[in-house]
Amino acid sequence: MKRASLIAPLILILIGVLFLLNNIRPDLSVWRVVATYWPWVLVGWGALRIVEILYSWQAGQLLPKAGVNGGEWAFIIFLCFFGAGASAAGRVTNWPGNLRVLGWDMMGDTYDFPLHGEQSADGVKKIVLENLRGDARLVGGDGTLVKVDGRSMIRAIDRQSAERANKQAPLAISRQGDILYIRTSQERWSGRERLTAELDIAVPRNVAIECKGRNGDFDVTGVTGAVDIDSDNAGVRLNDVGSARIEVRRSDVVRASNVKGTVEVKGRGEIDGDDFTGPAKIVVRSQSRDIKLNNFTQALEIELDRGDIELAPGRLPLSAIDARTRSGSVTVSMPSKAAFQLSATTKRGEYENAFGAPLSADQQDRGGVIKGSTGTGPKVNVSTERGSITIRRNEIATPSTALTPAPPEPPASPKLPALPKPPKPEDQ
Amino acid sequence: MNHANLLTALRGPVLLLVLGLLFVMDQSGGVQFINTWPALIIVYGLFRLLESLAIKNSLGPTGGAQ
Repeated sequence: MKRASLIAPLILILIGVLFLLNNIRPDLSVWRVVATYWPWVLVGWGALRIVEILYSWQAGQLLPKAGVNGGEWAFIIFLCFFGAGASAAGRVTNWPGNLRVLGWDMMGDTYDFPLHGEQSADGVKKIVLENLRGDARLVGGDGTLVKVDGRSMIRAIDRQSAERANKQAPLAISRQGDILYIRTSQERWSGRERLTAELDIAVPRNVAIECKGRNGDFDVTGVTGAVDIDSDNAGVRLNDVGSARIEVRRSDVVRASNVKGTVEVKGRGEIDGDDFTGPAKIVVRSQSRDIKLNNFTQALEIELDRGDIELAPGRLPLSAIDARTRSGSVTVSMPSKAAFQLSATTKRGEYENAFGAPLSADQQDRGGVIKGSTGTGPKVNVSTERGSITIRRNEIATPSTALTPAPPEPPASPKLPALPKPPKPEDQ
Repeated sequence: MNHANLLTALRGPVLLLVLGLLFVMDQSGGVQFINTWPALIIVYGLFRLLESLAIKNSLGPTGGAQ
């Protein structure tokens, strides 16, 4: 006789224990443990079944036709998706003692607390913003006052615990020398409540900005100093800033326009650049997603692992361009009157010379090379290992003077809506 | 004793075990599952191969011709 397997009851017991633990010991963050160790369920399941089968084989019992049947596979696949999703969520949120899985977040409510603070920034050279979670918008303007407005949104089971969390994580503005720190202090709270801050910050125009966060967008406009953004997961929008250094581990989009100095972007995510002026250098290191840059004059260096590159240096004279992707297509639109020496290579893929003479295209193994020179100009080297290469002619471009009109007034940043007035705490 | 049946019965659990280990490696920050999943095909293929060899052996030198 075939003995019933031990696995189904064991899994049921495990699930029951997990839910029970989650209910009676909320401080244990059971789901975090699940998100980390769930693959061991598969390992244990497989090992136990192997032992069972070997045991019945040894005992001369009838062996099952399949060690794991169809229904079980369906459950395993579900478990894999669930587990992979949970661990991905865990990596993103990466919040101490606090992980929400598949709608666990739905429990409780969001409580709003207004955030407000201001301090003179007379003589301040740099403003450091530390907001682990939530969106922040910094706008440079006249005056020497730093003014912070916004709200802290706290997801909690009840108002009492939200208030407790809020007390532990106040908005703090402090000054050390010529650096002004703005902190939302969310990291001080280690409970289950999730704190998110939405900030609207007015800063003097002539400061440098440094933003640090784990999850949330940063939007910086109108400062003449350097902007430095470091986040695990952020959409970044910069407009009219001195220079930019952006490092994001994950990002949906990095958009920079009107940057006067160096632009350095490192990370994953779509990168969209427009109107980079001044003698500077752009270094983009991105592991995936696409890069699109328009109207840049300075030397450009792009290193991409996977993703398409689209370049349109709209202004003359050109500077050196060095763009490489391992997998992805490269499109370069060159102004028709530009002087440059081009070398565009694809190791494997199609190539198209839409620029025409004096560039010439040649087949090379499974790829091709487009080469040529339109005069004494900077070197333009683009290459892809796998993907197509297209060189276009950009007819709109005319010589230098006409080409650099004052950039039009940039549109308001698209993603961050104006912050609604935080409701009074009693409203909830 | 018929080894072919044993191998067929073991195929699923072993695949499951390997699947689990691949995810464990993925979790621990080692090689990502996206890169290692073909190992499952290899294990599956190996089992099918061993099973057919076992069937051949149990049927004798005629190689399974019935």
